[in-house]
Amino acid sequence: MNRLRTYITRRLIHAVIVLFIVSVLIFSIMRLLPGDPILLYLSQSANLENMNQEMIDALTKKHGLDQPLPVQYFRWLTNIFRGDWGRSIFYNEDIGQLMLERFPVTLHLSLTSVIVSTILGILIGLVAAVKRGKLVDKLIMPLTYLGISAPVFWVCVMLMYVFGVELDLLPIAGYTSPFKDFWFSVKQSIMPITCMAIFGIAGCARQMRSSVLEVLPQDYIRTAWSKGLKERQIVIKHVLKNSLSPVVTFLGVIFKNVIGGSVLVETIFAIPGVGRLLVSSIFAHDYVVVQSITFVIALLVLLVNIIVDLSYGWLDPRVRFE
Amino acid sequence: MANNQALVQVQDESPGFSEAPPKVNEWKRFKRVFFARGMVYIGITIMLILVVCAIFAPWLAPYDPYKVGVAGAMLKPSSEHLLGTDSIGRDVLSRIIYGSRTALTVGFLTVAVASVVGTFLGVLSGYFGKAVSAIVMRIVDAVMCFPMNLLALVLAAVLGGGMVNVIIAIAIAMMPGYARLANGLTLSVRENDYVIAAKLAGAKNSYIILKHIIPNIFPPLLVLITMNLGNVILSEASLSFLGIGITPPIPSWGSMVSEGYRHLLRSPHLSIAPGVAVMLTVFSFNMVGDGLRDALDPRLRGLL
Amino acid sequence: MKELLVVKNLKTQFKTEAGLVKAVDGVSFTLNKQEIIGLVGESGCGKSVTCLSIMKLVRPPGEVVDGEVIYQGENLLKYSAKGKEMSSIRGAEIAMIFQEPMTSLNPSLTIGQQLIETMEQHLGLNYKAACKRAADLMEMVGIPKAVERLDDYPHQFSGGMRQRVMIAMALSCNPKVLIADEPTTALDVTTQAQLLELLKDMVEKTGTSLILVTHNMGLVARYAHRVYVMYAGRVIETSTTKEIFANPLHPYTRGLLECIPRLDEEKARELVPIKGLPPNLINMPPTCAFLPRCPYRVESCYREPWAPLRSVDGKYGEHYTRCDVNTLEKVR
Repeated sequence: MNRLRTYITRRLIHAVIVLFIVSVLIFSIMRLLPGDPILLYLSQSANLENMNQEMIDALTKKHGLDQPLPVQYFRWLTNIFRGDWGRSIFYNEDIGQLMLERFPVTLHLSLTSVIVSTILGILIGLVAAVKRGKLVDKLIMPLTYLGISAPVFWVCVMLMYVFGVELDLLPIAGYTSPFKDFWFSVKQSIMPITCMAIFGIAGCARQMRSSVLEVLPQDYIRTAWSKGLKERQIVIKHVLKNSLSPVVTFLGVIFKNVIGGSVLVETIFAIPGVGRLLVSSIFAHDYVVVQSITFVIALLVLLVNIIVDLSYGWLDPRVRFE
Repeated sequence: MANNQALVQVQDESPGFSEAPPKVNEWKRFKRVFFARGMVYIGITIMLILVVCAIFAPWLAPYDPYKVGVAGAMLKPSSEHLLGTDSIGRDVLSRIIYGSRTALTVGFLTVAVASVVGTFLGVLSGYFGKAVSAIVMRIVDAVMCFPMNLLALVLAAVLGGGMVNVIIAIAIAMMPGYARLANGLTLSVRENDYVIAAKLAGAKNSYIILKHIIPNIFPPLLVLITMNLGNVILSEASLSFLGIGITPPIPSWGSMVSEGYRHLLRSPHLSIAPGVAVMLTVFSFNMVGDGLRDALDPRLRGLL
Repeated sequence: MKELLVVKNLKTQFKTEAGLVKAVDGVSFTLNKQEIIGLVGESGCGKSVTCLSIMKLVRPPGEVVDGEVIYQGENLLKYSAKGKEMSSIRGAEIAMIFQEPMTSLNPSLTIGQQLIETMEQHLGLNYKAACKRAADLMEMVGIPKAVERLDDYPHQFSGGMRQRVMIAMALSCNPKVLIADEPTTALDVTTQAQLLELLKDMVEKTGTSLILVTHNMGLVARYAHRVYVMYAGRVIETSTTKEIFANPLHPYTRGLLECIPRLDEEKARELVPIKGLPPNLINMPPTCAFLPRCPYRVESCYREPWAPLRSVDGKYGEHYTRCDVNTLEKVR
């Protein structure tokens, strides 16, 4: 137990250091912007003609933009910890509030997509490995290659056209919370979730297949056969648990991929999530929003990676005692 | 019955017919494993078609991809325009063929930059260890917290659009992958006896790195490069789709798909061909990358 | 009928890139009730593949191409490897212990789980009863604190302990036949001795018959009732242990025995190894397979690929050998 605690502590310290570096990176990128941020800000908010140098100076002072960069950085960081993420120029809203509205949407779709990917991917990969060389496997393999190669946005557009326009089966835009109208929410989210999940299903299936194919010739599987256990039992009890490790690693990759893909999917399907907010903020030069969103996303990815690392201990008992 | 005639106690050393197993020709083995999966042929064929399209585009394309159409906009596929025309009347097929130039150029340049810089950092980190490694790898960890698409998107937007900035943006997003791989590989190669021997003989660090470390970590890096080519093309296409990457009139498959999206009700067919082009390109790189990995070192299965 | 397991003319082949490997090329032997037989030979002579073939555990590119394995009147080879007949025989009627204790146990399941699953399947015990029996078995094989150790994982056991667990697992459902494929080769000498004594004890207690596969003639001398000597995929000599050690007829058997240092020798004797290497089993030439390494030559060595086993008058039991050369006469 002690070892576990020290491991978690070490991991958390590592995460904090990384998060710190992340914040510096984000801050620096935003400050790389060409042009004076104040003018940029002002050019958004209106009456550029009425500005004179005095007012510009005053505004600069008000937003603390005359301070040296490290001071600005610390100010930003401490504000975040106090819950003050700043204000969106474009939406004229508190960013914290904006994110609170939008993140659940993105998380709903993303997490569902990850779960679907994992479960389907594991099953498909398992079947392909066990029936290696047979027709099922020969069909699955090329499909997985296509799955990891297909551009997300293209799949979205294609599905949108086929199911939304041509067949008119599914709504092509928008989002409803499942708590408000469950079935409509499902109808609206099927296409986006499918698009986000394709890479995950294909990738997971490949990982799983490869992993199972490595476990199958192991000595302990031969022992299991020699004990007279039935094939189904051997596959589920002996093969599965030992094959899952690489797939769990892949979960981290899938999550990153899904979040990255949400940018495209939400834009295409007009879903009011964080991805779409990011894109529209970028186009609107609303960089404070961009800053905040990327920070939170990095934090989420970090958390997922920690969870993935900890789950190794459950999967492989040898790791627990390291 | 015992046969006692010609009973001879043999004292000589008979060589016997038990020999060592036949020597395996390395190149033959490589070829055999590489082509083991029939689909690799498809991958290589597609890659060849791609390269041919890119190099010989002016001769292959029926029309000038920039020429605004006299024939008419949004035409459906016909015998004159095999894939139809886009919203300003440019021939889609020609734009797709020229698009391969964009894709491959961006692909190779980005991967070149990312791999060289990333590997360099990774090798330094792995070889010198301690402080250097701590700093470099933490930064790598930080950059890897961003989904690649996201990072490339933000960077490209900040830097402004255009091909060069796209290349820089995606390359920065890809570097950590190389750095991490190179770091891990260097760590294991560093402990080998020939490296220690070279150090003891007084060789300079730069010599050791160039002559001993890099040649030995090369194969997995090559595999990563091949696989990343596909990812780069996907990334660039995504950026172009959003309008941040390579914008018209330069033919880019991603921006062509977005045209079909914007005119979804009228001409969705504009999206089909360019998307398929991206998919097949990435497919071929993934295919070849897998074959390379299996042929070079199957132990990499878990890593890559 | 005292015959328990009869193997007739078993042939197993492997299709490799280099050619067709005839790993087992017509092996026959009989295992009687409450008997221990030794299957002896060098690495690569086909003893392990023979055992795997009996259990139908041979994987592609290997394939059993001919022969019969008669157990309780039925030829096991006609059952499918994954079918329910073989499932009900493996573990419950015929059990096997493997050579590598380090990799033969599933690292992500507890020892208890691995012991219990066999019993739940074959004996129909419920969880509690199976647990109790598992603990009893662990104690029988000499693992201290059996009950607590049931919840431990394989990597928490040493090699010798793991092999004991394997023995416990194999005997858990009271099989009639136990095949031990070089059970102690991977372990140190002291552990070897302990484990074999344990095996002998268990076999005597439960009345199981044992096929002991080994390359160690010393073990055979001590534990086996009868011996089958294998070379290049065939049995080349067989008899009772006493007879084989007293009158080894085949030059190979003689060679094996001459390599063993003996405590009761008065003068310092040179250890005489068998020169040469085991043969390449692909494309064997049409002479006796042992010819290149054999100190004797007669005309018949060159004529036939394999001479048939012929019976010889044995002082201590039925004696069969393939070699025409009367090495005993020559020596005397």
